[in-house]
Amino acid sequence: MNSLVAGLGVGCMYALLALGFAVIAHVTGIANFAQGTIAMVAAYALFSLADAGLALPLAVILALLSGAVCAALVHLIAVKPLRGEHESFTWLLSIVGVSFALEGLAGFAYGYDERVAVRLPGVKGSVDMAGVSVERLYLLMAVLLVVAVILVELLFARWHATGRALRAVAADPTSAELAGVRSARLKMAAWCAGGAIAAVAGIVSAPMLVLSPNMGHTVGLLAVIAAVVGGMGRIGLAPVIGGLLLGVTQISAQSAFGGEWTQIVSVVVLSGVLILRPQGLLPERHGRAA
Amino acid sequence: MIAMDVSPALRAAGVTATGIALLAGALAIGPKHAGLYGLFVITWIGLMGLNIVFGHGGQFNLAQNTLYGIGAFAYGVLTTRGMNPWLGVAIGTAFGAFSGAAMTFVAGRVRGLGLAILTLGIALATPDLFSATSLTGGFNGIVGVPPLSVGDKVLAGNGLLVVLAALAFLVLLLTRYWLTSSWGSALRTVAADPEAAAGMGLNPSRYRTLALTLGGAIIGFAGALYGAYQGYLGYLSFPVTMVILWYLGVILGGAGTIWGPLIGAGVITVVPETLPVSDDLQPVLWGALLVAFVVLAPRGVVAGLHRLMPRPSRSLPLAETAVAAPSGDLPERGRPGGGVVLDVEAMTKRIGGLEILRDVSLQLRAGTVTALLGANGAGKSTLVNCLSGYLPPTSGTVRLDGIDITGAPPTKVYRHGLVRTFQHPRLVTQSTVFENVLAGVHAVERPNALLSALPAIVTRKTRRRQDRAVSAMLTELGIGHLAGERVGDLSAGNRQVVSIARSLMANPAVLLLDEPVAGLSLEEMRRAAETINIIGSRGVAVLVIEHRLDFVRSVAEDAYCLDSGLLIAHGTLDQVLGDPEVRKAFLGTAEAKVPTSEPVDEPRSR
Repeated sequence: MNSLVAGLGVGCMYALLALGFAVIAHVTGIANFAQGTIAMVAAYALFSLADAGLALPLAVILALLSGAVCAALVHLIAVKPLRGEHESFTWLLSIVGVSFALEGLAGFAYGYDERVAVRLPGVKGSVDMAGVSVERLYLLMAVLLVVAVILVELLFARWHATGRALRAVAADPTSAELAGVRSARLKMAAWCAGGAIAAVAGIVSAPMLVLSPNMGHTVGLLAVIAAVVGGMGRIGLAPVIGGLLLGVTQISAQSAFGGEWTQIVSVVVLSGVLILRPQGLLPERHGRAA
Repeated sequence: MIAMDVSPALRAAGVTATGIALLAGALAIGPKHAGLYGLFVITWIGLMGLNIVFGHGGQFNLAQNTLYGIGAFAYGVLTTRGMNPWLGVAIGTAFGAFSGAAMTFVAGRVRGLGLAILTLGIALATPDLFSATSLTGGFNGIVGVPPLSVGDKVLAGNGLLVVLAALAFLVLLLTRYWLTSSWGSALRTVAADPEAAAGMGLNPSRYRTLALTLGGAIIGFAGALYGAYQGYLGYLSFPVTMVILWYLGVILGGAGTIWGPLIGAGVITVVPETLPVSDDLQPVLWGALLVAFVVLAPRGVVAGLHRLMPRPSRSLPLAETAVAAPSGDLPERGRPGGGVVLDVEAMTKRIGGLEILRDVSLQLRAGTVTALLGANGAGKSTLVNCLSGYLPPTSGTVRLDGIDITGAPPTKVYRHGLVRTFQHPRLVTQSTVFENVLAGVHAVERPNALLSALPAIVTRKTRRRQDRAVSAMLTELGIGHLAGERVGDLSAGNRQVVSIARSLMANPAVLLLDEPVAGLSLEEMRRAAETINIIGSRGVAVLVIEHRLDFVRSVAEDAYCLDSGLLIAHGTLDQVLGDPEVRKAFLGTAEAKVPTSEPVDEPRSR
C-alpha cells in the first residue's frame, strides 16, 4: 500500500512533466526534450532567488516565469529557425543542444555538487490518511496536478476564441493560418505554458530528487516516457494517466529489483509501449474528453 | 550528398594524401600527443559508422554510446578471459552489428520520432545498464583490458598508432567505395523520401536495416579498439554526452558526406584538449555549437569546402558519352509495338462514402503515349495511385503483361515494370543528378551488399557498367551536361527530366507521368515533350496525366477523359477532344476555345 502511494506520488510529478510536454507537442508537433532542463532551470532560479532573500511567493512566481521564458528561448533558438524541416526531426538535435548548453551553464554557475533544494513551507513530513501515511509533498503535487490539468483544459476550452484557435492550430496549422489564426503567437503561447508547467514540476520535485544540473536528463526522459505511455501529442488525461502508470511501475520495480534498475525499467516500459501500442495505452479519443 | 563535381583524379589524390598524412602523423607524433591522436583516429571510425546511420541513412538512432560501449565491453570481457585481441575486436564488431540490427527490429515498428525517443532512453540508461551487470564489472568496471598485439609483441607507441590509422583508413576506403556505389545512392534516396523510394522498387525497411546494421558494426569495431586502447572500461565511459559530441561531429563535418567524419572527429577530440576554455564551460560550447550548426549550417564544413574546390568539367567525360549505346548495357524488355501492356478492368475506388473512381477500364499499348484528361478532382491522381500500388483499389483488376498486380505494394508493382513519376519530382535534392539516377539502376540490379562493399574486380565492372548506363540515359534525354549538378540547384523542368530518367533506368514496360509539365515554361515543356516522344519510341507504354492541351497534342496519340470518377470518352486524341461531352466537362462549355494557359494545380493526393 505504501509503495502504491509512493508510486502515485512520484507519478503525479511525472504527470506534471508529461502535461507540459504534451501541451507543446499537441499544439506544435514538437517533442521538447528540454522539458527536464527547463524544470532544472526553474528549480535553480527558485534556489537563487530565495537565497538572495526574496519573499518565497514572489520567488516562486519568478521561478515559474523563468520556466516560461526558458521554453520560449528553446522555441526561438532551436525550433523556429528550422522552418519547414520539421519532418526530418533536425529540431530534435538543436533542442538537445540547447538543453546541453543550459545544463553546462547551470553547472558552471552552481557547480555539479548536488544541493538541497528550497523546501516549500508546510510540505515537510506526512499526514495519516485512513491509516496510510502520505507525504505532504505528494499531496501538494496531486493538488498542483489537478490545478494544472484544469488550467490546460480551460486554455483549450471551446467556449473562448483562443481555445478554438489553439485547437485549430493543433489540428492543422496551415489551414488555421489560412483561416486567419495567428499560429505563430499561439505556438509561442503553447511553449510558454508548457515551460511554466515544467517549472512547477521542477520546483516541487527538486526537493525529492536533489537539485543538480544533471537532473534535467532523467527528468526530461521521464516526461517523454509518461507522455508516450499516455499517447504522444495528446493533452487532457492522457499524460496524467501515463505519468501515474509510470510512477507506480517504477516504484514497484524498485522494490522488486533495487534502485539501480529504475532507469532501465523505464526504458523497457517505453520500448514496450512504442513497439506494441505506439499510439499510447489510452483508447483513442478518450484523452481529449474533459 | 556526395558532390560529384570534383574530378575523379582529384578525389583519388585526396584519398591517397589522407592515407599518407594519417600514417605520417602516426609515425611522427610525439609521446605528448600520442594519446590524443589514437583517440582521434578511433573516434573518426565511430563517426564514419554514425554517418552511415544518420547522415546517409537518415535514421535518428541516438544510442551511439550503447553500441560503442557494447563493442568495447565485448572486447574487454572476452580478452580479459584470455581471448586473442583480434578475435575480440571481431566479436566486438559483430556485437555492434547485432545490436544495430536489433534496433532495426524496433525501427521497423517505430519510425522517426519514436526511434529517436526510444534510443535516447537507451542512451540515457546505458551507464545504468553497464553498472547493473556483474559481467561488465559493475561499478568497478574492467581494469587491465589487454591491448592489441601481434603474436607475442604488444602494440604500443607509434606502432600502435600506425595500426589504428591503417584500420581507420581501411574503413574509409570501404565505406567510401560502398557509399559512392548505387547502394549509397539508394540509401540516400530512401532516407530522403521513403514513400517515393518504394515507388522505385527500393524497400525502405530493407535499407533502414542495412544502415543500422552496417553503422552498428563500424561503431562496435571502434568501441572494441577503444577498449583495447584505453585499457580500462567503466560504466561511466559511455555517457550520453558522447552521443551529443558525436552528432555534433557528424553534422559539423557534413552529414552524408565522405569526409565529414574526419573533420568532425578532429574537432571533437582535439578542440577540448587545446581550447583555453575551462572544463565546466565545455558543455556550453558543445551545446551551442550543435545548435549553431543544425540551425545555421546544417550541411556542415565539407559542403562549404566543396564550394571552394575547382570544378574542372561539369559535363560527363567525352569518352563515356561516346560509348553510350542508346539503352546502355542493361537488359531491355522487348515490346512488340502496339500490343496491350497494361489492362485495367472496372476499377472502382471508394474513400469514405465517396466514390472517387467508378468502373474505370483502360488499356495502354506498347510504344504508345496515351493522355488522361480530366478537370481538377476528376480522379486522375487517384487512378495513378491505384495503378502504382500507393492506394488499394476497392474493386477491379490491373493486369500488367497478363499478370495480376491489383493491390500489390509499390515495390512489387515497380518490379513488374510499372513505374510512375510524381507531379512534384521527389528527388534527393542534396545529391547530384548522376547519383539520383544511379539509385534507379540499383533498384533493378540490386547487387549483393557484401560484394559491392569489397573493392573486387567483379563489382568494379558492375559499377562501370552502371555508370555507363546512367551516363547513356542522361545523354539520351539531353541532360548529360548536368550530371554533376546538385538536383536542388536545377530548374523545375530539368528536375522533371531527371525524375523521368531515374524511372527509365528500370526499363519499365509502363510509365505513368503525373502532370509532368505542371509549372514548366514553354521551352521546358517543349523539351519534356521531346523526352516523352523518345520514351514512346523505345516501346514503353506511357500514360500522361495533363491539363495542358497544347502539350498533350504534341505527345499523345490516344486519350481517355475522366469526369467525376467516370470515364466519359476514349479513343484517339482528336476523337476525344472533339467529343462534345469532353468539351463540356473539361473546358466548361462546348464552344470554349482550347486553353493554353496553365490551370491551377490539382491538390496532390497521396
